Amino acid sequence: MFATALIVFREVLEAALIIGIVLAACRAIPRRGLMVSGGITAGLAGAVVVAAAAGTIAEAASGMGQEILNACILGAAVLMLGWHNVWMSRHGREIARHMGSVGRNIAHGAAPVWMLGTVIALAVLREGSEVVLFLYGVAAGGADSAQMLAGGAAGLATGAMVGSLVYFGLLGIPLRYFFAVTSVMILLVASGLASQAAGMLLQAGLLPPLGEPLWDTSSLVADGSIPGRMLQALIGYSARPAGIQVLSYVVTLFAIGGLMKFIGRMSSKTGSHAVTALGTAAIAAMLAVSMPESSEAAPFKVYSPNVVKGENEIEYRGFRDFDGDSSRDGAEMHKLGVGRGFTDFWFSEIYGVYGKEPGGSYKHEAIEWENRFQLTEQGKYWADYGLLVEYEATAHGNPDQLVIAPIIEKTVDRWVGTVNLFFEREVGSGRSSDTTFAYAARLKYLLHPRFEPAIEAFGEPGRFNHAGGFNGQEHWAGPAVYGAVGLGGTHKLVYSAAYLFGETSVSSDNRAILRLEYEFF
Amino acid sequence: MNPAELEVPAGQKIKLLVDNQDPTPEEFESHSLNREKVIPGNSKAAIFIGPLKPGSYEFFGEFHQATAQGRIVAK
Repeated sequence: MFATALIVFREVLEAALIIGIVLAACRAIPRRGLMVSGGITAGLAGAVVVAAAAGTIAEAASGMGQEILNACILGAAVLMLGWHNVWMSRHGREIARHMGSVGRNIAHGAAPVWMLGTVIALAVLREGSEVVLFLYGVAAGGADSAQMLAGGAAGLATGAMVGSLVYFGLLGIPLRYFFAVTSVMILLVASGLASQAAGMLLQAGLLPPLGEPLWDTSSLVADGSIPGRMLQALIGYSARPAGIQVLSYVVTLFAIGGLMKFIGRMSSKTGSHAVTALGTAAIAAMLAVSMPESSEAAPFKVYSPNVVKGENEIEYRGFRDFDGDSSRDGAEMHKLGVGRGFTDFWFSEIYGVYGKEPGGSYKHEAIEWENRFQLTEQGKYWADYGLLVEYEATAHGNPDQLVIAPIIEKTVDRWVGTVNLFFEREVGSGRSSDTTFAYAARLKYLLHPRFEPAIEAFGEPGRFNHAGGFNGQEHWAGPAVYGAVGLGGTHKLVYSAAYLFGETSVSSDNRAILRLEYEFF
Repeated sequence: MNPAELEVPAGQKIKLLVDNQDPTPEEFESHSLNREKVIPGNSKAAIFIGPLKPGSYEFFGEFHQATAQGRIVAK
């Protein structure tokens, strides 16, 4: 009986902690009780269904159905928690102010209420299905069912007790700090769930480990121990995390944290626009993750996160490869684009893409629709953040491409470091089933507006689950120069050129890049 | 667990095939490998692990932890 209680307790603990935190964070939201009980009921019903269908699920997706389902459940919970936090960053103060006045309805209360219900349902679903399977196993194994029920009930009760302790403990925090504390806790919970989701996809062979384990702290706190479980639920602790889990954790932490700061400080109209744009980007990102690979060439421009409202742009950029081997010599790509900053956080541009294979002739390759979102005010935080979302309609019957790229830029004195991480997927018919990763990076020194020396690096390590050895990947790096000249009035020409050296045997020996932007208001 | 000790090459991605031969579900779990997966009764499940550094990695069945123990040795 004790063993049963312990296992049930361990499984229930995580859900209980999440429910406790979410419940506290949503205090004073009307119809809360209904959504909580609804969420638990729906979660339990779902858990029984999942347990009953365990065989079918396990066989789905070439035997990886369980991992994919878990990753989806965890991913959905991350989105819900993130949304809640971003919403709270706008309305938390308002709620705190009205808390004393009985019966006063809080504006816009609907969104977090169903969000709350969904998160609870997901948490119960995830942990509950394992409990149901375990108890079924114990029962089928011929154990005394009364003992089993008692054990299960004891485990459940203990778990619920810990959840209540967290809940009432949080309610004891003075109101002034309350929303700040619960927001941080939810942020950590969401990041931890994102790391678990990455772990599931890694186990299914759909993501690369990027170092496994990255470190090992199991001698301090072991994963299976009760403290380990608690830390896992609260801050996403893992004693032996893979690199991809740490990366997911950090990206989620910065994404939600950045959005909270950014949207929490905007006027309500811009705020709702931003939430819409983000929602679109999040859906696009999910599509990108759930859809297959691309064979796009490595990027050859480093994007900055900053967007200027009302700025128009005509852009050309292109490269030519040089190589002793004729199969790589003379490859070219040229992009011609027209763009505009529609708001102070959204810049959109349409490109025509033309290319030439070594020894071939010029061909129209694709039409690209590129959207750049500035996520934080320039210079406000440790770094400036942006997001690039790009759709590429390709010619010649090739599958279309969807590209999502977080942009990070850090300025120290006159040095500006910028990194773009591209995740590319093929969409439409004939697509293949992997994500391709590529990067662009630049370190620039602001010497003079007309002459800014820089070092640039570009590469495409390749498909996510098949990234081969380093030598089978394309990488270039080399010097570059940037500058801008005024052309009178609001007209400006921005130029840059780079001469790169191939770092691996499959990269061309040299790549010459030219970029010109004609900007006006 | 049969075999209770499994030898695998180090530095390679490995697909582990776990066959649950009795009718009750089991959860394959390993802290040192950072893996967990529920395997329904009378069915097989694949789990990707590695590339592993040389060494010994314990695994167990969470629902029958007292008896269901094993380890993977990467060489």
